[in-house]
Amino acid sequence: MSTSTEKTTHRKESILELAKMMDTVVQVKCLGGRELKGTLKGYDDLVNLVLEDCIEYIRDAETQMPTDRSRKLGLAVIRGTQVSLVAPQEGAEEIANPFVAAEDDE
Amino acid sequence: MLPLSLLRAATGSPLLVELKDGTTYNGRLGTCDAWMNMNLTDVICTSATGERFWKLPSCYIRGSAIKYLRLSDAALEKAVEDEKELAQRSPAGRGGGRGRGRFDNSAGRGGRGRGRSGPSTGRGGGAGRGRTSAGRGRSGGRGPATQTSSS
Repeated sequence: MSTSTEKTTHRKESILELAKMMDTVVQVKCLGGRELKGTLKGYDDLVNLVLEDCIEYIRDAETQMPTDRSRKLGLAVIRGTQVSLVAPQEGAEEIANPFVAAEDDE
Repeated sequence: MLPLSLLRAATGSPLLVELKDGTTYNGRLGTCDAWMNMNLTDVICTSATGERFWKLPSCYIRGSAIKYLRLSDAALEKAVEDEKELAQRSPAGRGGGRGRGRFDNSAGRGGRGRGRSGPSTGRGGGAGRGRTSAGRGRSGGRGPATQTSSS
């Protein structure tokens, strides 16, 4: 995280450091609502991604909430224009409502 | 104050991002860029229904997926201070101009692409080059004129 006075990034550098996430499991959410998880094998400036052993989490038909069911996609190329979120899966977990406990936050 | 200046001033402070699909992300802002893409750390993700919660150590959010942001008051104060600092460094009008000039130099595609959406890089570059070719067109016009005068 650079804190230069300019605070703007050079055109060729992306703020997303995908190099650090190479060969790790990442969670990718897509604009349409699909959720994917796979090992990051490749990427480019436009955030097109190559995911190995990719799994798509099936959403519930009515609520569109992710369920435990999934389907395997194998080696997949994800179009960068459709990506809405990229998160490393390491350290990620589902938790109980944190906002009820900490009423100081916000 | 420009929205992106406010966002840049908010780096390091907590904020809430709601995406177009309704999911919210509460976290500390790391870096951001001219397209409003951002890196958040210590993120709590809440589903659109508000029933499920996940904790993510870090995540990257696409600017185009964002519906809105909620910033802390500290971020707003810092942004106001940054504005004053910028105005003090140079005269007020030019300060704003230089701010935007920086955008054009460092995030060229982003700067020009602001009017148009992201994937129009070819045309964005073409607009830049178009200006220079128009210049050449004018000199081309003078070309034949000089020839006739010499003959």
